[in-house]
Amino acid sequence: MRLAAVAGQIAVACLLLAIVAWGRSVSHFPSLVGASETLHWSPNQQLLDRAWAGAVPGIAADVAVLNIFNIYARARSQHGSNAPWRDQLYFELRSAQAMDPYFRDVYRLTEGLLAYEAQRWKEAVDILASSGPWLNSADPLLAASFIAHQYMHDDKLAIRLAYQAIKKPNASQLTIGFATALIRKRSGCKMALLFLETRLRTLPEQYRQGILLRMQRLRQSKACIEEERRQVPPLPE
Amino acid sequence: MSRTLPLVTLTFREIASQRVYRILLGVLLLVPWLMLIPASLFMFDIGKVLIDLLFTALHASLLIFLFFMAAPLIARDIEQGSCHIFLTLPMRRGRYLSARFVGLIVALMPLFAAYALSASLTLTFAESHWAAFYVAPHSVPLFDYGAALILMPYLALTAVLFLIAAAATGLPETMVFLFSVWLLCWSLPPVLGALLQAEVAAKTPTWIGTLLQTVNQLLPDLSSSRISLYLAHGKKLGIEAVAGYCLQHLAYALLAMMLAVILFKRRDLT
Amino acid sequence: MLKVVELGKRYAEHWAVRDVHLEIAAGEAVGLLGANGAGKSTLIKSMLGLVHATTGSAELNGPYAYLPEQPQLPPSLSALSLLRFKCRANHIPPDQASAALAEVRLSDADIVRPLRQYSKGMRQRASLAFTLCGDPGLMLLDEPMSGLDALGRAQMLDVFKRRKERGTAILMSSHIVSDMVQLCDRVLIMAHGRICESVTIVDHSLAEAKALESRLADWTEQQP
Repeated sequence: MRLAAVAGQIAVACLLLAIVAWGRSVSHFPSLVGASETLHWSPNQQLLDRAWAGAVPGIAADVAVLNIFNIYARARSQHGSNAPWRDQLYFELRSAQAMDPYFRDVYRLTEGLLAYEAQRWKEAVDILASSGPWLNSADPLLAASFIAHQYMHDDKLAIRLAYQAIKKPNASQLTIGFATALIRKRSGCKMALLFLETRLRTLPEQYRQGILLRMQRLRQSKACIEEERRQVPPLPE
Repeated sequence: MSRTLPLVTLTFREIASQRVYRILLGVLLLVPWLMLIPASLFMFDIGKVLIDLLFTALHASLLIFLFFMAAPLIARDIEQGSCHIFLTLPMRRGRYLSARFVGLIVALMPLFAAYALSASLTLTFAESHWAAFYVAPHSVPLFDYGAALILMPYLALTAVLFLIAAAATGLPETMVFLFSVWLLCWSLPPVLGALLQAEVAAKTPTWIGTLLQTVNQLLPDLSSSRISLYLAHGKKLGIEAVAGYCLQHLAYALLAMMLAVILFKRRDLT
Repeated sequence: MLKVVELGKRYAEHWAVRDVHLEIAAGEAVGLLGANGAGKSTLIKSMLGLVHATTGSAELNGPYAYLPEQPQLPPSLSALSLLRFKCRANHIPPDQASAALAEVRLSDADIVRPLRQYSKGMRQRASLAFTLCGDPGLMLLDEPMSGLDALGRAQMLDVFKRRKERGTAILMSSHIVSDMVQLCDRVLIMAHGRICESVTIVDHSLAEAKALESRLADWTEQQP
């Protein structure tokens, strides 16, 4: 009798487990995250993010960066137009920067993904340019200056950002050379290719696609082919 | 003084003999090593991410101690009358409350030390294993320094717990008020920081900022956000700022305890 | 050992205790008899300062101990560690802890178990041991027999009698008349917050107990 009761209880438990497993396998609801209408960055968004992050804004920025990895991985696996992922990307980058403006990965991903891959030049420059008060590094400002010159064709902005980059303690020869070239209006295809090559080293392999694509397009562009024919002497590194 | 020290010791033993304390101790030894897993997902600033995770876990464990060990102890004492056996030793109410407070802080120390030790070992391992990805060097002293600073506001919050418990009718009321205070302490300072920015300030009415500032002044400054960010990125903290930070929390804790004693002395312990 | 003058406690418009005068000398046992809500516990707590008296004062001379009506002990500690705490706090020799626990008939195995594992009766014994430990000159006991069976009550009465013979003053509140008559030298009948009558116990007999019950009923039925 007792054995039968125990067996009965085990059977009921197994049945309930099977129901749970079946229910989970069939109940897939579409993700609500991702609609670009719902993810617009605004000052109020920053307030909300700061409030919930509380005393641990660093981890909030880390979570945002993890989201970026996920968004990018999902976008790579999908084919066709991926406009929403660019909005999501911008949102998460702004969120991460608002939480932890010292976080270097945010600026690397802004450059590599938002700029060169998603081609959101203005937004990328906004984020990179605002690194000034927080980082001692010239890198983000230099990247912003390059993007402003090369893709936004806004040399005034580019020169201003280059000047800011030069003032940073770790401003390299490349920074100074690029700034000089901008001022002298001598920047060209070779300069751009050289710059993009140095940026490759700042990103892991899986996030270099955007830069590699830009380099490929540059090499194939008329301006680059002409420049090569004219054999403009290279600038010092 | 002669009865205070035995009650401090008793409080420590009362907390430490609970099973949840021993479980928490074990968990705190393990958690830093588990943090290596999410940290490994990041690109370059792995050191900064790992320290962020460790600081966050520290906040969580301090909250667990406060809400699930400290609050029930003092609320039960007053609500159920456990304090009668101490007060009729005899012991003055102020001494009793102070001894319980100190005893709780003493009980927190082994948990804190275990966590700091385990985290230090984890950071040492990570630094040697991921040397190429560490931007901020010497993260162990940075972490220990930051952990000690993060502890400060929780001392003040524990004193606030005593202030609430001294007037509350029981554990539910104590928990609700304590949670409300913690929520304000958690979210207000970063919001106020965000309000300083031009684009945010432009969209926010002035009276809201003033109100939030006023409320913020009355609460412990739980916002060690600047400290954790600075240390995670290997930046130096000004000595004057750190001294001010520590002193303000100690002073706040003392003030809250003084008020708690005043309220507790006036209360009927039925 | 205990002197109470015009002690009173008011909650809003209601007087829980009013105009209490009381004196207890060393070696004297005084009972406080009353129905539920008569004000016995409030009176004792007012004497001890746990509740702030509205009027009057209470003076307790020498070391004293208090047994609450429903004692709440730290559940994660053992009875032995709790009593040892009292010994350290009051500079009592530590062996008195074990002696007090033995006096209330708690076994060696039980005294090291956490108090949350105790039955109601065991908890009451542990609280009694806490009260007895250190040989206080005055004991204020609020329903000390609560939770004890008949044998336990008899054992505790013996303990109290022995303490009384050694010169301890006892104030015991209870609604069990027979216990009171066995131990006390006089019984104060309390009703509606006041001490209505003081009855001297002569021969600790059943008849006296019945008479007391009758007097209590009379006073309780009267309007305040």
